[in-house]
Amino acid sequence: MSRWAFIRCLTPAPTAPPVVLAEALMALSSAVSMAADGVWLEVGRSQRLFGGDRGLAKEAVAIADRASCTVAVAIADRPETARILARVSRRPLLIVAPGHDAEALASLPLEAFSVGPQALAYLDRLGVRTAGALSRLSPKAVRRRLGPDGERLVRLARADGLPLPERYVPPDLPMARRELEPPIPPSEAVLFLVKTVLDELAIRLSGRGLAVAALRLAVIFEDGSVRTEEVLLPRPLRTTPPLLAILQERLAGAAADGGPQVLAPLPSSASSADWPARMTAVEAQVLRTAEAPKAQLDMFSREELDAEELTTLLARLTNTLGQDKVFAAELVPTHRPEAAWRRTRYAAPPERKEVSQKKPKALHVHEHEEPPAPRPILVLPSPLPVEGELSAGSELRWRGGGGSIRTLWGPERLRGQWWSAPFDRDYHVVDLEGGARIWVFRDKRSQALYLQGVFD
Amino acid sequence: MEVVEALREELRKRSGGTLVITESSEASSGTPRSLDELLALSRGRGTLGVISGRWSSGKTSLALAQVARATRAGQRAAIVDGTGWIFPPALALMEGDLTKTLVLQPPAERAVWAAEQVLRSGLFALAALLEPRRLDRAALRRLQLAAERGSALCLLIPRDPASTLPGLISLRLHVSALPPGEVATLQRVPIAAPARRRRVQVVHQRFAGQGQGQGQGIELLAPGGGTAGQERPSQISVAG
Repeated sequence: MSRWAFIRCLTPAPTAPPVVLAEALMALSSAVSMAADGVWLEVGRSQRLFGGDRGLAKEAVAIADRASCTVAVAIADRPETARILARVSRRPLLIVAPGHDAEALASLPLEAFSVGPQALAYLDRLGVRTAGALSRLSPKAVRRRLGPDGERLVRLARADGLPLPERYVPPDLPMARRELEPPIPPSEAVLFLVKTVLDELAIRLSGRGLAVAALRLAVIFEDGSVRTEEVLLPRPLRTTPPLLAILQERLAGAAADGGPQVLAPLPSSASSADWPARMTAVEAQVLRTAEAPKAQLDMFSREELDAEELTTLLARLTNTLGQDKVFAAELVPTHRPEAAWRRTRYAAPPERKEVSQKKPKALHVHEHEEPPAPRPILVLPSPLPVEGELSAGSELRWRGGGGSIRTLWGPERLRGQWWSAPFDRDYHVVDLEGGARIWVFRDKRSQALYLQGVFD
Repeated sequence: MEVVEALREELRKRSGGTLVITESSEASSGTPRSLDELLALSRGRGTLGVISGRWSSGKTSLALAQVARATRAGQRAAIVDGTGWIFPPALALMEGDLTKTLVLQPPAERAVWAAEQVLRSGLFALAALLEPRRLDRAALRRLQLAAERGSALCLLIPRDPASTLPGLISLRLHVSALPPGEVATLQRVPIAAPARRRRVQVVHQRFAGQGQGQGQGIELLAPGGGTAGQERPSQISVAG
């Protein structure tokens, strides 16, 4: 059964464009069509998911509220019936029982149908002043006098089938833009506008169960210069305040590409000649989306909040320090020490509420097994050449340091990767006079000595 | 106390001269008796601590042992690595959970900022700041406030052994390497270096409601080459 809801925007000058309401309402139905004064939803299949027409209508009001839009909702069998009733009804919510569209329209005056003055005068001369009276006329007879619009009017009053409104297809990667009218000099006031565009993108994506994973923000200046910042999130965020905090931090600093300052306050001593160009617009383009976390917006669990906070923190750190400077380590099964681990994305699960009493798994389980060989805490990414001999009392020298050997142990032979980059090394733990302990190796092929790490 | 002394004597006999006391064997008196207890007390109450010592004295491994301990307990910890040389497999050998350990390698001028963000978030029990560049009072104050806000422990491990950090430090530890002693348990590993002994001096500690203390000295036994091997920070050898 076909059922249509019309959600009419009552806000006189909505701050968000109509597409925002349309895309936000896709949470209720994927079949969305747009009109000049609102949005149609085909709800025949989805109304059951929300407890029927009334539940769906209430949900639509709540979503519209999040899009800063006050709405009136009407639900009927035909899309135009729902639109006309939403326009004339004084109630915010009106539901027509299935099969009763014509009855619901019958008492309405013709003015409710947006009839032109000439047609209205003609029908008035015939004594036709309501939709009920109009529905009793022959569509073909009215067409002869008033043209195709006249026939359409009669079919509308009869709630006959009319061509369905064109379905709206949202962009995969939405863009939001706000003009600054009048333009303003660089200041923190622009953050309000940044928040507005972020909010718009968040609510538009939320309709499809998506969230921002990467975004580019552009602040446009009147002299044509543009300050752009790209933000990559390790996990999609459902809310905009964390994203705003990241962008605020980025905009507060100097642009990587030498772009203009956005948040720098105007120095009080500056003359008008020194004033920087004013900002004219803010534009945010979603670069990548990802499935939004499942929890309901108003049902944050502690774990979800924790994950959201962690995502925000990691995003801020990576956006400031760089992607490769924020990581978790992962062990790599190789004997070559400098390649024994790699960087991986840090995505620690939420903290356990109760600490397990279970004993951690030991590295060596059996009593008779030898403990693993020691490894220094600090290992040089590239081994440092060492001059000297490996014997007690001899002097070792390397770039920036050195010392006299007090005691040494080893060797521990590590070799492998004969198929690609073969290595064959004898490692020694060396105690230097003064108490320092280092990790050196002799390359078996070149016989050269290298400093690999420091036990600190 | 007689019971504890008897226990110590028994352990001394069994371990061939090296006295090992675990946390669980200590009688609780309400004040921190072991280094572990002291450091565990520091976590979860917003503490700024510093571990100083000469190059290769074992100060970094003492800090990372705390990272391993926190992550083993299911908490998150962060290492703000100013050296760029951190070797995570060593942390894994300490039975630390690498998936819960966040490693940051910021440029020197951003290290304090990065540590501040981690501490302030309240998501991490501990942040170890390895070899930060010279910290002034303002930077320390920021770290202290961030640690308090996030109820976390911030451990500073300065490069300079004589680093004189201004006040605001609640816990000061000084680590110095000692000549290796005889440790029978390692003799079955012929190539391994013997246990490395370190002296950890609690130079100063100040916790709310606990007053101040200073001058306590503890020798820490780090078997298997000194730091990474199987250091179990709950095992503390007391000079005796």
